[in-house]
Amino acid sequence: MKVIRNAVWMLAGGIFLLGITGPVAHAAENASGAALTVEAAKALSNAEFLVGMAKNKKSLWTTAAGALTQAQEAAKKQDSEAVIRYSAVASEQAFLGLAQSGYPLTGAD
Amino acid sequence: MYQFPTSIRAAGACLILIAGFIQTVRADEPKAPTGQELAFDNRKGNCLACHAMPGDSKAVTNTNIAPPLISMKERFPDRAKLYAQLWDASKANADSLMPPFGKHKILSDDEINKVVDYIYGL
Amino acid sequence: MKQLIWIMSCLGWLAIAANAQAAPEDHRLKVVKAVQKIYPAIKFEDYVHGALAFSPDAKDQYDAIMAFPPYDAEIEKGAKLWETPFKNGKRYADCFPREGRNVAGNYPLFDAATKKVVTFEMALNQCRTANGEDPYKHSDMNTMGLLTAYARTLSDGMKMNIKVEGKEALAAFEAGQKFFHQRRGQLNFSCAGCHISNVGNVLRTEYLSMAPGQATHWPAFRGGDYALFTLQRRYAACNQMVRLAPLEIGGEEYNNLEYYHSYLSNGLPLKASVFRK
Repeated sequence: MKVIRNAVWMLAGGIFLLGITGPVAHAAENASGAALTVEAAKALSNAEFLVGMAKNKKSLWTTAAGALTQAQEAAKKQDSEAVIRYSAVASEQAFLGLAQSGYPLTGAD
Repeated sequence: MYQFPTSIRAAGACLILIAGFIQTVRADEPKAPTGQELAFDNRKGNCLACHAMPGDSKAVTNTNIAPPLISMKERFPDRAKLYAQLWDASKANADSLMPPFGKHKILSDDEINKVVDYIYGL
Repeated sequence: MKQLIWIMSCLGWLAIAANAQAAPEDHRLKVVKAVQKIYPAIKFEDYVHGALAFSPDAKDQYDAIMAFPPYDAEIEKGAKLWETPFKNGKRYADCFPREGRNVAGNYPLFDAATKKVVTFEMALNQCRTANGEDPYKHSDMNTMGLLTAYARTLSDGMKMNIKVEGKEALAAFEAGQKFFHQRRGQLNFSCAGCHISNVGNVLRTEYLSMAPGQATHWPAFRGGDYALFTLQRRYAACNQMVRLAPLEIGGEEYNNLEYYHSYLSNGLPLKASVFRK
Protein backbone atom coordinates (compact mmCIF):
# COMPACT_ATOMS: atom_id res chain seq x y z
CA MET A 1 0.00 0.00 0.00
CA LYS A 2 2.66 2.40 1.08
CA VAL A 3 4.66 1.45 -2.03
CA ILE A 4 1.80 2.42 -4.31
CA ARG A 5 1.24 5.68 -2.48
CA ASN A 6 4.90 6.60 -2.64
CA ALA A 7 5.11 5.62 -6.30
CA VAL A 8 2.16 7.85 -7.20
CA TRP A 9 3.64 10.80 -5.28
CA MET A 10 7.01 10.30 -6.95
CA LEU A 11 5.37 10.16 -10.35
CA ALA A 12 3.40 13.33 -9.70
CA GLY A 13 6.44 15.09 -8.35
CA GLY A 14 8.52 13.96 -11.30
CA ILE A 15 6.04 15.21 -13.87
CA PHE A 16 5.79 18.52 -12.04
CA LEU A 17 9.55 18.95 -11.98
CA LEU A 18 9.87 18.04 -15.64
CA GLY A 19 7.23 20.63 -16.43
CA ILE A 20 9.14 23.50 -14.89
CA THR A 21 12.72 22.53 -15.60
CA GLY A 22 12.18 22.22 -19.35
CA PRO A 23 11.53 25.86 -20.17
CA VAL A 24 13.83 27.10 -17.39
CA ALA A 25 16.74 25.08 -18.76
CA HIS A 26 16.07 26.39 -22.25
CA ALA A 27 16.04 29.99 -21.07
CA ALA A 28 19.17 29.44 -19.05
CA GLU A 29 20.93 28.18 -22.17
CA ASN A 30 20.07 31.43 -23.95
CA ALA A 31 20.72 33.80 -21.11
CA SER A 32 23.98 32.21 -20.15
CA GLY A 33 25.73 35.13 -21.91
CA ALA A 34 26.53 32.94 -24.92
CA ALA A 35 27.14 35.54 -27.61
CA LEU A 36 25.55 35.17 -31.03
CA THR A 37 26.97 32.35 -33.09
CA VAL A 38 29.33 33.35 -35.89
CA GLU A 39 26.69 32.23 -38.36
CA ALA A 40 24.05 34.46 -36.76
CA ALA A 41 26.31 37.49 -36.65
CA LYS A 42 27.17 37.06 -40.30
CA ALA A 43 23.53 36.63 -41.28
CA LEU A 44 22.62 39.83 -39.46
CA SER A 45 25.48 41.74 -41.03
CA ASN A 46 24.44 40.57 -44.54
CA ALA A 47 20.85 41.58 -43.89
CA GLU A 48 21.90 45.03 -42.68
CA PHE A 49 24.01 45.50 -45.80
CA LEU A 50 21.23 44.49 -48.21
CA VAL A 51 18.56 46.51 -46.42
CA GLY A 52 20.87 49.55 -46.46
CA MET A 53 21.43 49.08 -50.17
CA ALA A 54 17.70 48.83 -50.87
CA LYS A 55 17.08 51.94 -48.77
CA ASN A 56 19.65 53.89 -50.80
CA LYS A 57 18.00 52.78 -54.02
CA LYS A 58 14.58 53.85 -52.63
CA SER A 59 13.41 50.27 -53.12
CA LEU A 60 13.15 49.08 -49.54
CA TRP A 61 10.04 47.04 -48.80
CA THR A 62 8.33 47.37 -45.44
CA THR A 63 8.62 43.58 -45.07
CA ALA A 64 12.43 43.76 -45.34
CA ALA A 65 12.66 46.65 -42.88
CA GLY A 66 10.33 44.88 -40.45
CA ALA A 67 12.22 41.60 -40.57
CA LEU A 68 15.53 43.40 -39.98
CA THR A 69 14.08 45.10 -36.89
CA GLN A 70 13.00 41.70 -35.60
CA ALA A 71 16.46 40.27 -36.30
CA GLN A 72 18.08 43.13 -34.38
CA GLU A 73 15.74 42.61 -31.41
CA ALA A 74 16.58 38.90 -31.44
CA ALA A 75 20.28 39.78 -31.48
CA LYS A 76 19.80 41.86 -28.32
CA LYS A 77 18.34 38.74 -26.70
CA GLN A 78 21.27 36.62 -28.01
CA ASP A 79 18.76 34.39 -29.80
CA SER A 80 20.95 33.12 -32.65
CA GLU A 81 18.27 30.91 -34.15
CA ALA A 82 15.80 33.80 -34.43
CA VAL A 83 18.51 36.13 -35.73
CA ILE A 84 19.27 33.73 -38.57
CA ARG A 85 15.59 33.21 -39.34
CA TYR A 86 14.65 36.92 -39.45
CA SER A 87 17.88 37.94 -41.21
CA ALA A 88 17.11 35.46 -43.98
CA VAL A 89 13.69 37.05 -44.54
CA ALA A 90 15.16 40.57 -44.42
CA SER A 91 17.89 39.70 -46.92
CA GLU A 92 15.53 37.94 -49.29
CA GLN A 93 12.93 40.73 -49.23
CA ALA A 94 15.61 43.44 -49.61
CA PHE A 95 17.08 41.58 -52.57
CA LEU A 96 13.66 41.26 -54.22
CA GLY A 97 13.09 45.01 -53.73
CA LEU A 98 16.38 45.79 -55.43
CA ALA A 99 15.54 43.46 -58.33
CA GLN A 100 12.15 45.14 -58.72
CA SER A 101 13.71 48.36 -60.01
CA GLY A 102 14.59 46.38 -63.13
CA TYR A 103 10.98 45.36 -63.84
CA PRO A 104 9.44 46.95 -66.95
CA LEU A 105 7.37 50.07 -66.38
CA THR A 106 3.62 49.51 -66.45
CA GLY A 107 1.43 50.86 -69.25
CA ALA A 108 4.55 51.86 -71.19
CA ASP A 109 3.71 55.06 -73.00
CA MET B 1 -15.24 -1.15 -2.43
CA TYR B 2 -11.59 -0.51 -1.71
CA GLN B 3 -11.03 2.96 -0.29
CA PHE B 4 -7.89 4.70 -1.49
CA PRO B 5 -5.98 6.37 1.32
CA THR B 6 -6.16 10.20 1.27
CA SER B 7 -2.53 10.54 0.23
CA ILE B 8 -3.07 8.45 -2.88
CA ARG B 9 -6.22 10.37 -3.77
CA ALA B 10 -4.31 13.62 -3.38
CA ALA B 11 -1.49 12.37 -5.58
CA GLY B 12 -3.98 11.16 -8.14
CA ALA B 13 -5.68 14.52 -8.16
CA CYS B 14 -2.32 16.22 -8.74
CA LEU B 15 -1.62 13.97 -11.71
CA ILE B 16 -4.99 14.75 -13.26
CA LEU B 17 -4.50 18.49 -12.74
CA ILE B 18 -1.07 18.40 -14.36
CA ALA B 19 -2.35 16.36 -17.26
CA GLY B 20 -5.18 18.86 -17.69
CA PHE B 21 -2.74 21.78 -17.62
CA ILE B 22 -0.54 20.24 -20.30
CA GLN B 23 -3.58 19.63 -22.45
CA THR B 24 -4.69 23.28 -22.15
CA VAL B 25 -1.23 24.54 -23.07
CA ARG B 26 -1.14 22.36 -26.16
CA ALA B 27 -4.64 23.44 -27.20
CA ASP B 28 -3.48 27.11 -27.29
CA GLU B 29 -1.36 26.48 -30.39
CA PRO B 30 -3.07 28.34 -33.30
CA LYS B 31 -4.69 26.21 -36.00
CA ALA B 32 -3.24 26.69 -39.46
CA PRO B 33 -5.54 28.93 -41.59
CA THR B 34 -7.66 27.34 -44.30
CA GLY B 35 -7.36 28.24 -47.97
CA GLN B 36 -10.54 30.32 -47.71
CA GLU B 37 -9.18 32.20 -44.69
CA LEU B 38 -5.94 32.92 -46.53
CA ALA B 39 -7.88 34.12 -49.56
CA PHE B 40 -10.07 36.47 -47.49
CA ASP B 41 -7.34 37.77 -45.14
CA ASN B 42 -6.32 41.25 -46.28
CA ARG B 43 -2.82 40.72 -44.96
CA LYS B 44 -2.43 37.50 -46.96
CA GLY B 45 -4.18 36.78 -50.24
CA ASN B 46 -6.72 39.61 -50.02
CA CYS B 47 -8.29 38.11 -53.14
CA LEU B 48 -11.60 39.88 -52.50
CA ALA B 49 -9.92 43.21 -53.16
CA CYS B 50 -9.99 42.43 -56.88
CA HIS B 51 -11.92 39.21 -57.44
CA ALA B 52 -15.58 38.53 -56.90
CA MET B 53 -16.39 34.95 -55.89
CA PRO B 54 -20.05 34.45 -56.77
CA GLY B 55 -19.88 30.81 -55.71
CA ASP B 56 -19.06 31.58 -52.07
CA SER B 57 -21.81 33.31 -50.09
CA LYS B 58 -19.25 34.45 -47.51
CA ALA B 59 -17.30 36.37 -50.17
CA VAL B 60 -18.42 40.01 -49.77
CA THR B 61 -16.90 42.50 -52.21
CA ASN B 62 -17.85 45.21 -54.73
CA THR B 63 -14.82 44.80 -56.89
CA ASN B 64 -14.88 44.53 -60.67
CA ILE B 65 -11.21 44.98 -61.53
CA ALA B 66 -10.34 41.37 -62.26
CA PRO B 67 -12.20 38.32 -63.57
CA PRO B 68 -14.59 36.71 -61.08
CA LEU B 69 -13.39 33.39 -59.69
CA ILE B 70 -15.96 30.90 -60.95
CA SER B 71 -15.71 27.67 -62.94
CA MET B 72 -12.06 27.54 -62.03
CA LYS B 73 -11.64 23.84 -62.81
CA GLU B 74 -12.94 24.43 -66.33
CA ARG B 75 -10.83 27.53 -66.86
CA PHE B 76 -7.66 25.99 -65.44
CA PRO B 77 -7.75 22.25 -66.16
CA ASP B 78 -3.99 22.22 -65.52
CA ARG B 79 -3.49 22.91 -61.81
CA ALA B 80 0.11 23.93 -62.43
CA LYS B 81 -1.09 26.84 -64.60
CA LEU B 82 -3.29 28.17 -61.80
CA TYR B 83 -0.42 27.81 -59.35
CA ALA B 84 1.84 29.71 -61.77
CA GLN B 85 -0.74 32.50 -62.06
CA LEU B 86 -0.72 33.00 -58.30
CA TRP B 87 3.05 32.67 -58.18
CA ASP B 88 3.63 35.46 -60.74
CA ALA B 89 0.69 36.77 -62.74
CA SER B 90 2.90 39.16 -64.73
CA LYS B 91 4.25 36.19 -66.71
CA ALA B 92 0.90 35.83 -68.46
CA ASN B 93 0.19 39.59 -68.60
CA ALA B 94 3.08 42.02 -68.18
CA ASP B 95 0.76 44.81 -66.96
CA SER B 96 -1.14 42.62 -64.50
CA LEU B 97 -2.09 44.30 -61.22
CA MET B 98 -2.10 40.98 -59.41
CA PRO B 99 0.69 40.82 -56.82
CA PRO B 100 3.21 38.01 -57.43
CA PHE B 101 2.27 36.02 -54.35
CA GLY B 102 4.99 33.40 -54.80
CA LYS B 103 7.80 35.37 -56.41
CA HIS B 104 7.63 38.10 -53.76
CA LYS B 105 7.00 35.57 -50.98
CA ILE B 106 3.73 37.21 -49.98
CA LEU B 107 2.41 33.68 -49.46
CA SER B 108 4.46 30.56 -48.80
CA ASP B 109 4.31 27.63 -51.24
CA ASP B 110 2.13 25.79 -48.73
CA GLU B 111 -0.24 28.77 -48.48
CA ILE B 112 -0.47 29.11 -52.27
CA ASN B 113 -1.36 25.44 -52.53
CA LYS B 114 -4.12 25.88 -49.94
CA VAL B 115 -5.52 28.89 -51.80
CA VAL B 116 -5.39 27.02 -55.12
CA ASP B 117 -7.29 24.14 -53.52
CA TYR B 118 -9.92 26.55 -52.22
CA ILE B 119 -10.24 28.36 -55.58
CA TYR B 120 -10.65 25.08 -57.42
CA GLY B 121 -13.84 24.59 -55.46
CA LEU B 122 -15.36 27.85 -56.79
CA MET C 1 20.94 85.56 -97.67
CA LYS C 2 22.07 86.46 -94.16
CA GLN C 3 18.50 87.43 -93.33
CA LEU C 4 17.20 84.12 -94.64
CA ILE C 5 19.66 82.16 -92.50
CA TRP C 6 18.70 84.26 -89.49
CA ILE C 7 14.96 83.65 -90.07
CA MET C 8 15.49 79.92 -90.61
CA SER C 9 17.54 79.53 -87.45
CA CYS C 10 14.94 81.45 -85.44
CA LEU C 11 12.23 79.19 -86.75
CA GLY C 12 14.44 76.23 -85.95
CA TRP C 13 14.88 77.33 -82.35
CA LEU C 14 11.15 77.94 -82.06
CA ALA C 15 10.48 74.43 -83.26
CA ILE C 16 12.91 72.99 -80.73
CA ALA C 17 11.41 75.07 -77.92
CA ALA C 18 7.93 73.98 -78.93
CA ASN C 19 9.08 70.39 -78.96
CA ALA C 20 10.46 70.61 -75.43
CA GLN C 21 6.93 71.35 -74.22
CA ALA C 22 5.38 68.92 -76.70
CA ALA C 23 6.37 65.63 -75.07
CA PRO C 24 4.80 66.31 -71.63
CA GLU C 25 1.73 67.86 -73.26
CA ASP C 26 1.31 64.92 -75.64
CA HIS C 27 1.48 62.56 -72.69
CA ARG C 28 -1.02 64.58 -70.64
CA LEU C 29 -3.48 64.74 -73.53
CA LYS C 30 -3.14 61.02 -74.06
CA VAL C 31 -3.95 60.31 -70.41
CA VAL C 32 -6.92 62.72 -70.39
CA LYS C 33 -8.30 61.36 -73.67
CA ALA C 34 -8.11 57.81 -72.32
CA VAL C 35 -10.41 58.80 -69.43
CA GLN C 36 -12.76 60.70 -71.75
CA LYS C 37 -13.00 57.69 -74.02
CA ILE C 38 -14.17 55.29 -71.28
CA TYR C 39 -16.24 57.82 -69.32
CA PRO C 40 -17.58 60.35 -71.85
CA ALA C 41 -20.33 61.37 -69.42
CA ILE C 42 -17.92 62.75 -66.82
CA LYS C 43 -17.04 66.38 -67.55
CA PHE C 44 -13.35 67.30 -67.60
CA GLU C 45 -13.78 69.84 -64.74
CA ASP C 46 -15.25 67.05 -62.61
CA TYR C 47 -12.01 65.08 -62.71
CA VAL C 48 -11.06 67.07 -59.62
CA HIS C 49 -13.60 65.02 -57.68
CA GLY C 50 -11.76 61.81 -58.44
CA ALA C 51 -13.49 58.73 -57.05
CA LEU C 52 -16.52 60.89 -56.16
CA ALA C 53 -17.16 61.41 -59.88
CA PHE C 54 -18.23 57.75 -60.09
CA SER C 55 -20.60 57.66 -57.13
CA PRO C 56 -23.46 60.17 -56.77
CA ASP C 57 -24.01 58.99 -53.18
CA ALA C 58 -20.41 59.61 -52.21
CA LYS C 59 -20.54 62.99 -53.97
CA ASP C 60 -23.68 63.93 -51.96
CA GLN C 61 -21.93 62.98 -48.74
CA TYR C 62 -18.96 65.10 -49.78
CA ASP C 63 -21.18 68.10 -50.61
CA ALA C 64 -22.90 67.83 -47.23
CA ILE C 65 -19.60 67.87 -45.37
CA MET C 66 -18.18 70.68 -47.50
CA ALA C 67 -21.21 72.86 -46.67
CA PHE C 68 -20.09 73.00 -43.03
CA PRO C 69 -16.58 71.54 -42.83
CA PRO C 70 -15.96 70.14 -39.32
CA TYR C 71 -12.27 71.01 -39.66
CA ASP C 72 -12.83 74.78 -40.05
CA ALA C 73 -10.95 75.37 -36.80
CA GLU C 74 -7.84 73.78 -38.34
CA ILE C 75 -8.00 76.10 -41.35
CA GLU C 76 -8.31 79.00 -38.88
CA LYS C 77 -5.06 77.86 -37.24
CA GLY C 78 -3.49 77.90 -40.70
CA ALA C 79 -4.80 81.41 -41.31
CA LYS C 80 -3.18 82.55 -38.06
CA LEU C 81 0.17 81.02 -39.17
CA TRP C 82 -0.12 82.80 -42.51
CA GLU C 83 -1.05 86.19 -41.10
CA THR C 84 1.32 86.34 -38.13
CA PRO C 85 4.36 88.47 -39.09
CA PHE C 86 7.88 87.07 -38.85
CA LYS C 87 10.22 88.38 -36.15
CA ASN C 88 11.44 91.00 -38.63
CA GLY C 89 7.94 92.30 -39.28
CA LYS C 90 7.56 90.87 -42.80
CA ARG C 91 4.74 88.45 -43.71
CA TYR C 92 4.27 85.49 -46.08
CA ALA C 93 2.12 87.75 -48.29
CA ASP C 94 5.20 89.88 -48.97
CA CYS C 95 7.02 86.93 -50.58
CA PHE C 96 4.43 86.23 -53.29
CA PRO C 97 2.73 88.22 -56.03
CA ARG C 98 -0.85 89.35 -55.35
CA GLU C 99 -0.21 88.79 -51.59
CA GLY C 100 -0.24 85.04 -52.23
CA ARG C 101 -3.50 84.89 -54.19
CA ASN C 102 -3.63 82.62 -57.25
CA VAL C 103 -0.04 81.41 -57.00
CA ALA C 104 -0.27 77.76 -55.90
CA GLY C 105 -1.26 76.56 -59.39
CA ASN C 106 2.19 77.55 -60.67
CA TYR C 107 3.84 75.06 -58.31
CA PRO C 108 5.78 72.85 -58.52
CA LEU C 109 8.02 74.89 -60.83
CA PHE C 110 11.52 74.11 -62.04
CA ASP C 111 14.15 76.50 -60.71
CA ALA C 112 16.78 76.91 -63.45
CA ALA C 113 19.28 78.40 -60.97
CA THR C 114 19.31 75.50 -58.49
CA LYS C 115 18.28 72.99 -61.19
CA LYS C 116 15.67 71.56 -58.85
CA VAL C 117 11.91 71.27 -58.65
CA VAL C 118 10.45 73.76 -56.16
CA THR C 119 7.11 72.90 -54.54
CA PHE C 120 4.77 75.48 -52.99
CA GLU C 121 5.81 74.17 -49.58
CA MET C 122 9.48 74.80 -50.44
CA ALA C 123 8.58 78.33 -51.57
CA LEU C 124 6.88 78.93 -48.21
CA ASN C 125 10.03 77.73 -46.46
CA GLN C 126 12.19 79.92 -48.70
CA CYS C 127 10.06 82.83 -47.51
CA ARG C 128 10.68 81.81 -43.91
CA THR C 129 14.45 81.46 -44.20
CA ALA C 130 14.76 84.67 -46.25
CA ASN C 131 13.16 86.42 -43.28
CA GLY C 132 15.29 84.89 -40.56
CA GLU C 133 12.95 82.05 -39.51
CA ASP C 134 13.72 78.33 -39.34
CA PRO C 135 12.14 76.28 -42.13
CA TYR C 136 9.20 74.00 -41.29
CA LYS C 137 9.58 70.23 -41.62
CA HIS C 138 7.62 69.15 -44.70
CA SER C 139 6.30 66.10 -42.90
CA ASP C 140 4.99 68.10 -39.91
CA MET C 141 1.22 68.46 -40.39
CA ASN C 142 1.01 70.82 -37.40
CA THR C 143 3.17 73.46 -39.05
CA MET C 144 3.58 72.99 -42.80
CA GLY C 145 0.30 71.08 -43.03
CA LEU C 146 -1.78 73.75 -41.28
CA LEU C 147 -0.02 76.63 -43.04
CA THR C 148 -0.84 75.18 -46.47
CA ALA C 149 -4.39 74.31 -45.32
CA TYR C 150 -4.97 78.07 -45.42
CA ALA C 151 -2.30 79.38 -47.83
CA ARG C 152 -3.43 77.10 -50.66
CA THR C 153 -7.08 78.22 -50.33
CA LEU C 154 -5.93 81.64 -51.55
CA SER C 155 -5.55 79.97 -54.95
CA ASP C 156 -8.95 78.24 -55.00
CA GLY C 157 -10.37 78.31 -58.52
CA MET C 158 -6.97 78.93 -60.16
CA LYS C 159 -6.27 76.47 -63.00
CA MET C 160 -3.25 74.21 -62.56
CA ASN C 161 -0.50 75.72 -64.71
CA ILE C 162 2.70 73.68 -64.48
CA LYS C 163 5.46 74.53 -66.96
CA VAL C 164 8.18 72.19 -68.22
CA GLU C 165 10.72 74.30 -70.10
CA GLY C 166 14.27 73.29 -70.90
CA LYS C 167 15.98 69.96 -70.85
CA GLU C 168 16.71 69.86 -67.12
CA ALA C 169 13.07 70.55 -66.33
CA LEU C 170 12.15 67.81 -68.78
CA ALA C 171 14.52 65.42 -67.02
CA ALA C 172 12.80 66.13 -63.69
CA PHE C 173 9.38 65.65 -65.33
CA GLU C 174 10.51 62.35 -66.81
CA ALA C 175 11.90 61.21 -63.46
CA GLY C 176 8.46 61.82 -61.95
CA GLN C 177 6.82 60.06 -64.90
CA LYS C 178 9.06 57.03 -64.40
CA PHE C 179 8.29 56.95 -60.67
CA PHE C 180 4.55 57.04 -61.45
CA HIS C 181 4.84 54.08 -63.82
CA GLN C 182 7.27 51.92 -61.84
CA ARG C 183 6.21 48.91 -59.82
CA ARG C 184 6.92 49.31 -56.13
CA GLY C 185 6.65 47.54 -52.79
CA GLN C 186 6.12 43.86 -52.07
CA LEU C 187 2.64 44.15 -53.61
CA ASN C 188 4.18 45.27 -56.90
CA PHE C 189 1.74 48.07 -57.76
CA SER C 190 2.54 51.16 -59.78
CA CYS C 191 0.58 54.43 -59.48
CA ALA C 192 -0.23 54.24 -63.19
CA GLY C 193 -1.47 50.65 -62.96
CA CYS C 194 -4.44 51.86 -60.94
CA HIS C 195 -4.82 55.55 -61.73
CA ILE C 196 -4.22 55.47 -65.47
CA SER C 197 -5.02 51.90 -66.51
CA ASN C 198 -7.90 51.07 -64.15
CA VAL C 199 -9.69 54.39 -63.69
CA GLY C 200 -13.27 53.96 -62.45
CA ASN C 201 -12.84 50.33 -61.49
CA VAL C 202 -13.53 49.26 -57.93
CA LEU C 203 -10.77 48.00 -55.65
CA ARG C 204 -12.54 46.22 -52.77
CA THR C 205 -15.13 48.96 -52.11
CA GLU C 206 -13.43 52.07 -53.49
CA TYR C 207 -13.43 53.56 -56.98
CA LEU C 208 -10.02 54.25 -58.50
CA SER C 209 -9.66 57.97 -59.27
CA MET C 210 -8.23 59.28 -62.54
CA ALA C 211 -4.71 60.74 -62.42
CA PRO C 212 -5.67 64.09 -64.03
CA GLY C 213 -7.31 66.02 -61.24
CA GLN C 214 -5.66 64.20 -58.34
CA ALA C 215 -3.09 66.91 -57.57
CA THR C 216 -5.62 69.79 -57.46
CA HIS C 217 -7.22 69.20 -54.05
CA TRP C 218 -4.61 69.27 -51.29
CA PRO C 219 -4.17 69.35 -48.41
CA ALA C 220 -7.12 67.08 -47.68
CA PHE C 221 -8.84 66.27 -44.40
CA ARG C 222 -9.36 62.51 -44.55
CA GLY C 223 -11.61 59.97 -42.96
CA GLY C 224 -13.68 59.95 -39.82
CA ASP C 225 -11.10 61.86 -37.81
CA TYR C 226 -10.38 64.41 -40.59
CA ALA C 227 -6.63 63.77 -40.45
CA LEU C 228 -4.68 66.43 -42.37
CA PHE C 229 -2.77 65.14 -45.39
CA THR C 230 -0.55 67.14 -47.69
CA LEU C 231 -0.15 65.62 -51.16
CA GLN C 232 3.29 64.20 -50.32
CA ARG C 233 2.02 62.72 -47.08
CA ARG C 234 -0.51 60.92 -49.29
CA TYR C 235 2.32 59.69 -51.54
CA ALA C 236 4.02 58.26 -48.44
CA ALA C 237 0.78 56.60 -47.31
CA CYS C 238 0.17 55.05 -50.74
CA ASN C 239 3.74 53.76 -50.84
CA GLN C 240 3.30 52.25 -47.37
CA MET C 241 0.08 50.57 -48.53
CA VAL C 242 1.89 48.70 -51.29
CA ARG C 243 4.57 47.76 -48.74
CA LEU C 244 7.28 50.15 -49.85
CA ALA C 245 9.12 51.90 -47.02
CA PRO C 246 7.96 55.51 -47.64
CA LEU C 247 10.45 57.97 -49.06
CA GLU C 248 11.21 61.39 -47.59
CA ILE C 249 8.37 63.92 -47.65
CA GLY C 250 9.96 66.98 -49.24
CA GLY C 251 12.71 64.87 -50.81
CA GLU C 252 13.75 64.89 -54.45
CA GLU C 253 11.82 61.78 -55.54
CA TYR C 254 8.47 62.99 -54.22
CA ASN C 255 9.19 66.52 -55.54
CA ASN C 256 9.80 65.20 -59.07
CA LEU C 257 6.74 63.00 -58.73
CA GLU C 258 4.63 65.98 -57.67
CA TYR C 259 5.99 67.96 -60.67
CA TYR C 260 4.84 65.25 -63.13
CA HIS C 261 1.65 64.47 -61.21
CA SER C 262 0.60 68.15 -61.06
CA TYR C 263 1.34 68.61 -64.77
CA LEU C 264 -1.26 65.89 -65.46
CA SER C 265 -3.81 68.20 -63.79
CA ASN C 266 -3.02 71.23 -65.97
CA GLY C 267 -6.17 73.14 -66.86
CA LEU C 268 -8.14 71.87 -63.85
CA PRO C 269 -9.23 74.20 -61.01
CA LEU C 270 -7.54 74.00 -57.61
CA LYS C 271 -9.49 73.67 -54.36
CA ALA C 272 -7.62 73.23 -51.09
CA SER C 273 -8.65 71.85 -47.69
CA VAL C 274 -11.33 69.49 -48.90
CA PHE C 275 -12.77 66.39 -47.27
CA ARG C 276 -11.88 62.97 -48.53
CA LYS C 277 -12.95 59.56 -47.21
